[in-house]
Amino acid sequence: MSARRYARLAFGATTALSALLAPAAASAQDFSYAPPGQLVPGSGTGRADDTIYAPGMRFPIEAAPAFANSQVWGTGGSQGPSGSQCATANYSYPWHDNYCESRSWDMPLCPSGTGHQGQDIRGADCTKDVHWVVASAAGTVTNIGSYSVYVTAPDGTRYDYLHMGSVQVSLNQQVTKGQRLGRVSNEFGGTPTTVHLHFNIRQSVANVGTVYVPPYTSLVASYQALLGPVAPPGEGALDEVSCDGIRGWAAAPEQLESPIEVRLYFDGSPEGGQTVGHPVLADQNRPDLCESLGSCDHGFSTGLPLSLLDGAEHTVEVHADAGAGGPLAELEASPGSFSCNFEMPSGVRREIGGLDAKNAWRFSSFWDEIEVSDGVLGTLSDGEPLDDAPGLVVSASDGSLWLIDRGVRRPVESDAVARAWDFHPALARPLEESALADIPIGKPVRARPVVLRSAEGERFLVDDADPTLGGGGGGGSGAGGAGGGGDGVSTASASCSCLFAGSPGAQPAGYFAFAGLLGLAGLGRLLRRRPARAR
Amino acid sequence: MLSAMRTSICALAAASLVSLVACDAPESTGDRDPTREPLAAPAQAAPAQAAPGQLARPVVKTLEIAEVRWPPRDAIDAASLARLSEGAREAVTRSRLPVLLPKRDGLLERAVVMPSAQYTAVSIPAEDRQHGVTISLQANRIAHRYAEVPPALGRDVVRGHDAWITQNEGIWSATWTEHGVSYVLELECARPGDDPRCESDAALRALAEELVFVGGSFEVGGAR
Repeated sequence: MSARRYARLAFGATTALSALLAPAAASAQDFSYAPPGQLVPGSGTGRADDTIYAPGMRFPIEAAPAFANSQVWGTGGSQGPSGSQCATANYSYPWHDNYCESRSWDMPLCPSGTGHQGQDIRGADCTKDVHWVVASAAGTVTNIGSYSVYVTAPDGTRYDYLHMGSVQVSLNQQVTKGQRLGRVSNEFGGTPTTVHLHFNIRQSVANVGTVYVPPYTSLVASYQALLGPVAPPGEGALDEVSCDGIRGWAAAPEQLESPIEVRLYFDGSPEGGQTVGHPVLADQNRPDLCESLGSCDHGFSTGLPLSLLDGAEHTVEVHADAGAGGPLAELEASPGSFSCNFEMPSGVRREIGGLDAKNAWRFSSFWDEIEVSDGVLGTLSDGEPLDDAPGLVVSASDGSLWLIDRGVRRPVESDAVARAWDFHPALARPLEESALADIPIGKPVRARPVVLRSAEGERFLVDDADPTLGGGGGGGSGAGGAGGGGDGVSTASASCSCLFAGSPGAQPAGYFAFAGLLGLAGLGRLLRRRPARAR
Repeated sequence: MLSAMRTSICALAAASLVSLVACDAPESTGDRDPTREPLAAPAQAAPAQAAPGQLARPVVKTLEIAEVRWPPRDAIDAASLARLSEGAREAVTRSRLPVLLPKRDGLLERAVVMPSAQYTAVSIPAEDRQHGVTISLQANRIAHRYAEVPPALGRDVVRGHDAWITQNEGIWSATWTEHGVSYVLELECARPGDDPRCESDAALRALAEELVFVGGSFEVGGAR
């Protein structure tokens, strides 16, 4: 885990100390925890990972204090010091991670490949059926077993609560974040275990499966939030929602040195339980913020999801997520709405060879794809089919990123472009400068992918006909490929009827240009600044 | 066999010691964080060009929404579908992911199907909370991507697919990818310590092989 991140978490605990009017027995002042992955000595090898896999979650026990530590290696446990499970040592800080603690069952995220799937948490004391367990996130009760309750959030993340008594919910019930589910107990199929909550977070992780992810850092962050907000929630404003895109700013006043994320909820809200919050990092330079905030790099801007460019009215709610388990805060002037039509970029259509190729290129059906009629498809001429997967190379000398396409190397010019295509240097093949120099330079990769889907399910990428610098960019309708970003669009909003959600601080539409230019310098910063969550 | 013995030992110990026995496993060390190179501007490329709004999308794709590979409609196991409750049948038609259910008497009738935009969950409550088994199955089309988590192929095979099989507090589970989405099937015994169905992963494996496709919305495309 990174020292920086740990320092921040530790600072949070200290901040909580002074920020709190402590409940009588909460012992918030004393809260401390061992780093993620540091298990009780002799209990296995933990996963040193400071990623918060469930940002914004609620701590699963209603009231502090609570104590995350090992049942098996704690006092009174089968592998721990002799004594009672009620021993003071079990109800004391610091917390200890016990994800990946020695077990024999497969756990792909554990260093040993096997281990304990979740985290054991004791309530304030060892009495059973007293301390409330609450939902860590809003969602649906998707399973109730003999000693387990599962709640699944809209993004598919499942929160597991085991060994509870006095279960308060029923199958298929919608629950809100913080709603009581049951009480900390020792239910274990007729054979009691110690009085504790076994808590799992289960997520579908790309290229692995639906697995148990480390819960410890999410628990630390949410416990700090329970003890008292580590920092005030984020703030910001939604400056513009138009066919040009979505633009605004967001920051956490007490951690201006770090960017925060905003989450975009299209046609819904976080409370609704049916929409996903799409994360966007608010790290773009905004000169207008420098004086008022004392820090400039808190802007965000994004284009609209292509799948919503259907002429119908859509809404977008934007919330600041300051992290550390704090609450989401809706931005000023949110929600906004838009009603826009898709504009066909110029270029040729390049066939995408099936779902495997689509997935290899990481094209998003929501962001990158729009269904069009055969008539619209027919306005573009055929270009060369797209490769089955992107061929990315990275310069071993300067770190520049290139897409190898049709015999040329096309530069990925900015962080915004890399994010839009989901190109990451870690996935690229390193090439020495001499080898790179042998490959002719071509036109830059377009600013974002535009994928057309026919009614029959065929997919085509709209791209330059000729990627060489000397070649014509178009080949289809509209103007030829533009220089630089090569997006080939002459106007961005000619056919839209936009509903503007403005604020006094709104920038002119040209701001996107400025942000794009500045974005170039931002990606390197981003990747360095967020080592644990560069996703 | 060894696995079953461990389970029994754990359960016996739980009964007598009021705690879980640690089921130690060999360990190895080493984490798997990839080294990342900074991304700098290409030395010989043209300056970055401003992106018109529709074409700028600096969204980090941390959430991958999979494209469902729907089985053909005639692959629906009509006999199994017919045995579902009316509510479950209606829920199946709203599912944006292919619904798989175990083709077994007594299970289909109890299935509760819970479709959501990005996942569909199925729960089959135990016929007897004191002695039965609870079955849950969830299909996810969202996948979370983390730079810290490299691809890992499952060490088992379920339904012909690479899979992970594990046991969490006595609850057996398997996860695999099928029809383009990630499935997880679980089996929880009311009395894991003395129910032969939870002594090993055999019952879970058998259940997984019995899953049949009972339908879905057949919707194609993105989700918000």
